[in-house]
Amino acid sequence: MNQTQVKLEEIMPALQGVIPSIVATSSLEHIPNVTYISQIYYVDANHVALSFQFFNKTIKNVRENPMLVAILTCPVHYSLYKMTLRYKESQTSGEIFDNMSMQLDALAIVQKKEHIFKLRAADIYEVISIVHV
Amino acid sequence: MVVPAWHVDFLKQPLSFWIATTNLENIPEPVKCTGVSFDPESDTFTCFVPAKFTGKTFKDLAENPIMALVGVELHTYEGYQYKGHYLSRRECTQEEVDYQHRYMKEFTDILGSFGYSAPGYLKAYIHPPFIAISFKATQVFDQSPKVGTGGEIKTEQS
Repeated sequence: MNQTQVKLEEIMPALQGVIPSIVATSSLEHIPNVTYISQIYYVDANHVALSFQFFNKTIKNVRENPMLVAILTCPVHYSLYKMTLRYKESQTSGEIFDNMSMQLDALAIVQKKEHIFKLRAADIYEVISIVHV
Repeated sequence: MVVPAWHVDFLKQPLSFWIATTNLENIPEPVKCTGVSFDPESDTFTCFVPAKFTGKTFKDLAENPIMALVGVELHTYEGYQYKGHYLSRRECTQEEVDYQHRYMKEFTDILGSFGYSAPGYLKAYIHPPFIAISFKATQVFDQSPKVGTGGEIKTEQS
């Protein structure tokens, strides 16, 4: 499969939370996990933040193995992007957390799922690679 | 039996299905399924995926035969994760290809009702040829978005 490397700024429409993204993680025992995530938030040219809403297998996995792979869908062209990320830290306050929380609140109102979209933390990840699949 | 009996009907809905594998360096790989069939007698899932997306998947399975499959209902987000051991892969039969087109039509119709582009999704995910990947489930987890989610679901027989 030909995979074209792209920059984070080139996929901004896919980072608006319009279409939920898929994330896969792995435990140290090589057991994969795959789930939807509400939001992947642009931080800067080399970092994104993922919403941490529940203490689930994804969170447990990235705390022991920091590698995460996400599939994002552009809501304009329906192009698919595979993003490989490395977990760095978790933030529970500050500008990134507040902005993500506001976006999640807006999503919750639209989807009538306020109980689902409560943000516990903004998990910061370094972008290792992005490819167009 | 590891998969609860009532999941048989749940799995017949046009859920959003994704599989994931990982290599021994713990780099995971998610792939969208264009349909899933489930045999409750053997707890075996057959996951249909476009061959285009399976380059890393099969490399992963060659060194680590553990697979995960998630199925999520699009209206409620009710979802379950099935984990188990890879069994085999093969090209899809024509009957399976026809099923995938029906499944993707129903799946994208739901997405269209949410305001997304059904043709856009079909363009993104329908890429023949399709591969059938089978695995035997050994664990089932609740993955519906709620506090305390992620717990393993056990049947009396599991």
